[in-house]
Amino acid sequence: MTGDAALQLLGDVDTIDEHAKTASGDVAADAAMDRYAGGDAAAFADLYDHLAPRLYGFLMRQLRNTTQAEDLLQQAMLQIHCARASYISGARVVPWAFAIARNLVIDAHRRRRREVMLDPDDPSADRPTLDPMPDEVLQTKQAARTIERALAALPESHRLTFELLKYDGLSLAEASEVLGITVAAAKVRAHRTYAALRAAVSGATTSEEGVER
Amino acid sequence: MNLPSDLKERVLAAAARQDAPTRPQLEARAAMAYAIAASAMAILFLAAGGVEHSQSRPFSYTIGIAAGASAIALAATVAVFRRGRAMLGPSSRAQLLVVLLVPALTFGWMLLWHDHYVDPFVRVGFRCLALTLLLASGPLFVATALRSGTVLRAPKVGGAAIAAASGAWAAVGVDLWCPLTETKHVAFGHVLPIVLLIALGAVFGETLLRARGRRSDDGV
Repeated sequence: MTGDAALQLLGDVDTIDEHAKTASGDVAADAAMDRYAGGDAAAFADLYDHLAPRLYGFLMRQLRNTTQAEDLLQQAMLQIHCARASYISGARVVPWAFAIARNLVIDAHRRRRREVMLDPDDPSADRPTLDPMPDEVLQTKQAARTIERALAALPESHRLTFELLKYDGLSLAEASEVLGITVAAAKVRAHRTYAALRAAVSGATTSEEGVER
Repeated sequence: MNLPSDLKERVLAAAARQDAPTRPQLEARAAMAYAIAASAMAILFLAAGGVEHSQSRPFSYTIGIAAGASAIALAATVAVFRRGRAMLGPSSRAQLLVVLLVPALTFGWMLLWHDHYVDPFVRVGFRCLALTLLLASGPLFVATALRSGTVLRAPKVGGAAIAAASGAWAAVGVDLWCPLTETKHVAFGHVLPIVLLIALGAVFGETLLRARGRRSDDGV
């Protein structure tokens, strides 16, 4: 059952739209960044509202530590603030912000060993879930953990591509921009990751059925 | 994912404490800085003797050589500095192409002219090497300063590419000044300084261009 739910959560890689229309939230973020670059100080609060939740989710998945995630979120927003003059009118701010966050994560990993600190009493340390349904919360969480265990076994480049597409809602074009690769390369990574996860999840389903017998 | 309720206030307060120029302010500063760098290049060029220093070569050849060098410099500048709507800048591949092609094209272009006239004298190229390095230093310094701490990907390659473009523009001035196109002279006096600038750019690119985390004054 967990395996079926996990397969359901994975969905179909072919549904990833290479040229996905920019979400209205992203358009609003671009507009806020443009105003802020022009000197509208109040626009930074709008920019924070648009970017911070997504960046925080990304940082939490990479760091598994709320204190570090908060610290790096602040650093990322400050970097955006300091570099506001370099913002090109009409450019997409979301991939840029994610690239800044990713760089900070890389620096953090270089400085210290990656710690997995999950405080069971800290609700913000919950692992992210995909499309949770009220009546199947437990099953969905178990399915998500199955996927995460399988993800952890994959190369970091593939895992990150998957997470940017599936968890952070970036389009293929945006994810390729964050990662510094071509759209075709991002698509190949995504397909391979999905295939590997399906194989891992199917293997988990088979072993569960064997145990039940 | 739920954010801590006070984090927004902390971030906004930290940003308010750190000065950051607006786009119009940076554009004005950049224009001023590049104008000063270009003026310094012109003054240096004239102080070294200007175009008159190459008068022993047919003037039409001097103009032709400089025109080709200008085309190389312009192409390198567009490849390195034109971002379109990409906040993350040109690809590492494009910048690496600039790094490899600028010295190669400079060398090849000058050698094409070698058989068309007789060099008036023989020089190793120390003065050409020094003049190239001096002429390139202004635009290289300005470009590096304006991009300091903002490059997210491949800062070494980025630094090397900026240096290559700066060296290409310096080569235009040196081509107007120097009447020689002999192979060894070109390699030592005209191409080697560009290679040295590229190496310098790569080193300083990592330390000066690389984007680093920013902390608020209270260290939070």
